Amino acid sequence: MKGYILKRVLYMFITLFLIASATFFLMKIMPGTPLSNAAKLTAEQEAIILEKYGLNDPVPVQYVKYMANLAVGDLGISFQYDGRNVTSLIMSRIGPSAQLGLQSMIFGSIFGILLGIISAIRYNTIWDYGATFVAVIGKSIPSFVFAALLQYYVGVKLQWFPVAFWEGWEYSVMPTIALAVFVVAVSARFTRTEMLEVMSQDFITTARAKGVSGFAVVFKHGIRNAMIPLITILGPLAVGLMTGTLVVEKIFAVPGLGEQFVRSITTNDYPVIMGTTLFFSFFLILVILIVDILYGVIDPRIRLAGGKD
Amino acid sequence: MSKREDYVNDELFQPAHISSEKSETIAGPSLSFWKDAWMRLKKNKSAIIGCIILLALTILAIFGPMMNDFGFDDQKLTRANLPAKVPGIEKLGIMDGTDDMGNDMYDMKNVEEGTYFWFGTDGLGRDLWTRVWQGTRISLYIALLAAAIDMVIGVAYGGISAYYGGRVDNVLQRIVEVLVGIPNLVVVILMILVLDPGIISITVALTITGWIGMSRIVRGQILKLKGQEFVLASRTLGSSDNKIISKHLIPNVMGVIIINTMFTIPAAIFFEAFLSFIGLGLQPPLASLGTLIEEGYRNMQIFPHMMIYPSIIISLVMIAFNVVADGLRDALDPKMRE
Repeated sequence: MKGYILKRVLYMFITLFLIASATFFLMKIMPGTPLSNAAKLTAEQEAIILEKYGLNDPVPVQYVKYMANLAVGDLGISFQYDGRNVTSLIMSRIGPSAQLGLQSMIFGSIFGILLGIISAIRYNTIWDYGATFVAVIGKSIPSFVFAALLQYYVGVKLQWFPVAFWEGWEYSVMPTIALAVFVVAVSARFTRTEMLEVMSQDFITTARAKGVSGFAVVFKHGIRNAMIPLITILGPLAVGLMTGTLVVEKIFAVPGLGEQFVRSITTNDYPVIMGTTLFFSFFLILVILIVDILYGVIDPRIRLAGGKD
Repeated sequence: MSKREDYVNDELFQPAHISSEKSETIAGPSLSFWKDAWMRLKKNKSAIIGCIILLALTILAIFGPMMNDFGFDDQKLTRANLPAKVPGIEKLGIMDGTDDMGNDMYDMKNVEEGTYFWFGTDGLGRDLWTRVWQGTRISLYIALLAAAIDMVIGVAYGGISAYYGGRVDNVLQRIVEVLVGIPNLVVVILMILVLDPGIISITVALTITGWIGMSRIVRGQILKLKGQEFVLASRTLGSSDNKIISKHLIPNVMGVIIINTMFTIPAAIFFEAFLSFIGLGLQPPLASLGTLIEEGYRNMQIFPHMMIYPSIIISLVMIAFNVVADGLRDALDPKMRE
């Protein structure tokens, strides 16, 4: 297990290093200039600005500098917000995104798991078909379509919740719902499969045979065992939520990391794009690593079989 | 009871004639794997409906833009922002060219009598019907592209890695292990920044990232298969590597390949629409469903029709592909059935 973790951590750093390098060099060959009014500047002014941001150095020097700064967590200085440090910019933006992500993860998975359990214990009934239908719809309709329709019908027409911005808990309701739909769909489908699998095992038959009540069989024996593999979908869910925040934050004007990322792409703000890309990658790789390790820790069968490797 | 015994007596019964020939005959036609799968798929109502929807959408995507005289980039500001109006259906009170307040916009804008925009027009007076189907073409192109990448690169990479094993496998798998850690979104966005936004950059980005999942699945399957006796037998009989791969291994993993491809397709379609929505996809005047939804979203409060039709179409495309994928999974691999 220790060797496995070490190996995975090593790969994580190699991957991050490659992403950082690729991001850096791609940014260098990207079209467009960070100077918004390049035509109006004199050559001297331009030189001063380029000097200030270290854009005059040869590319390899810039690369080494960037990597050295990265190692100590310094992601450079934003072009768009005069002199703002990218690390602090990300930190100031992370709050709303993290809140939305956590809320939709928690509410979405609770609802999804319930839906999955219902359709598994009421297998092939109207309940099952209904839950499956909800899951297919939730998985199919793109998050931005759902978010926009939600904003129009619930926000503008019914006026139940504020349409946009970020000024209190009620502002987080609609973005959370828009993000959670995907979580509900994925976790409901997964729970249903796992639950059906577990409920057909011998130990469930044994439990029923010795007279355990139906309720206890489902909750004590069924759900506990079905929940274990659910950890594995945390990784894909995190990826999906991250993609979702980009559009959902844009639609609901939430001052989060996703909205910032989309804006920095349109304004050619290289350091912010690079920084956010790296941050996203680091976060996702970390989540997947933790999920894999947790899975081995929680389910002894996997450890005994020599890990997932 | 006694009554029944009266007329059900031993005389009614005769011993069955047991013929040794007949007991050996095969009653039903023998089913190949694919026939069996097809029979299971036919029974799955939702999958069949999904297939029909896909077929209809494909036909409309091909012929839809030709069904009226408006080009996808014919601008005319005098007929901008018109709601949908369809002959026939207009009498039912929906899609009759009136806005929320019930004003006939076609009258107000002095549009020639007898002109119908089936999905309405956008802010520049372009026909949305034509543009929506033009956009559906993009989505279907992405679907084909994603499927091709999965089937060609993914299968070849995974197959080679597993079949040759040893050092080849080692090198190829180390590369995958690094690549798999990189979020798709990051690669796609970086590629699109370097190339100009558009269909080419989306194609390149999908080619770079699209095959990794498939290659891992195919590798796992082939590793399992290649140690089995029928492969050994074939090799003993002198089959070449190519023949073993193409005749024995690939047909045996075909089911898994198809299932996985079908699940990649909606993901790829979503990705294109998503990128277009955040402004990294197709550029005007070209239309994809993502850009149409984005345009519609900006005018949603005043002209909801601009948002609604492309949203319905993309949702239909996604639902149809997902449902067909589920059906195929159930049909091709009963063990994986949910």
